[in-house]
Amino acid sequence: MSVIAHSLKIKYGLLNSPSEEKIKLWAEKSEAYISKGVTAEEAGNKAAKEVFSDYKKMFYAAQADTILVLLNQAKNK
Amino acid sequence: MSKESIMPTFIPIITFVLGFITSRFTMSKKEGKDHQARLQDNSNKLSAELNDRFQAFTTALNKYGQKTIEPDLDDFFDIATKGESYFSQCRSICDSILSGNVDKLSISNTHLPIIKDVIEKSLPGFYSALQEIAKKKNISYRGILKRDNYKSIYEVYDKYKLSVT
Repeated sequence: MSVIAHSLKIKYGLLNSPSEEKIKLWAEKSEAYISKGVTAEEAGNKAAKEVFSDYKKMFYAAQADTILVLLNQAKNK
Repeated sequence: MSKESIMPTFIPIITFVLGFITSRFTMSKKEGKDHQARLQDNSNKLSAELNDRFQAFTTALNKYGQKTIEPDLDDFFDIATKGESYFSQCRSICDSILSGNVDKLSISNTHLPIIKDVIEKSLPGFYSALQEIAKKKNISYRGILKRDNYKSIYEVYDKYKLSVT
């Protein structure tokens, strides 16, 4: 299963899951930035902005993580 | 009538019947596209409903956690019912996946990552938290996590071998 596509969708706030080709392009661009001395996080961001037209169009948090944080908050009440 | 004279009459009939049967069980390119669009549409609807229930569930949880006065029984059961409702939508999604009504791409890209998290994190976390809160606040709550109640979610989890991904 394409966990990478889902992770990229969440991380970069994409409306749709990116295609295999777009993921490949993103990885290549990221690596190119990294080889120029840009940090991995920054490189990934720059590449995502260029490759994904729906970059930062949505805000996601993994549902389970949000639920667990809120459940813990409720437990401590 | 001899065998030879019957055959020519039968051939068009057989061809028609075969053609009819084949068209019932196969799809033209356009029909295939329409079918795919229907599956995708169904997937989007299921996801939109899950998002709504997720919002309602987290709103109830947040309300409980942020209360400046002591949360009451209603607040507790609000979490319980909204949580149940969220997980019940996860179950509907899995029912739909198992009956072949969701497109393959959405299954792997959208639904499976959520289902994996539900089994491994949120579902057990939900029941253990409710039991803990109930005990702390002296609330009579008998909810326990039963695999039978979420059968299709576990089936999808097992079918797609999510425990090893």
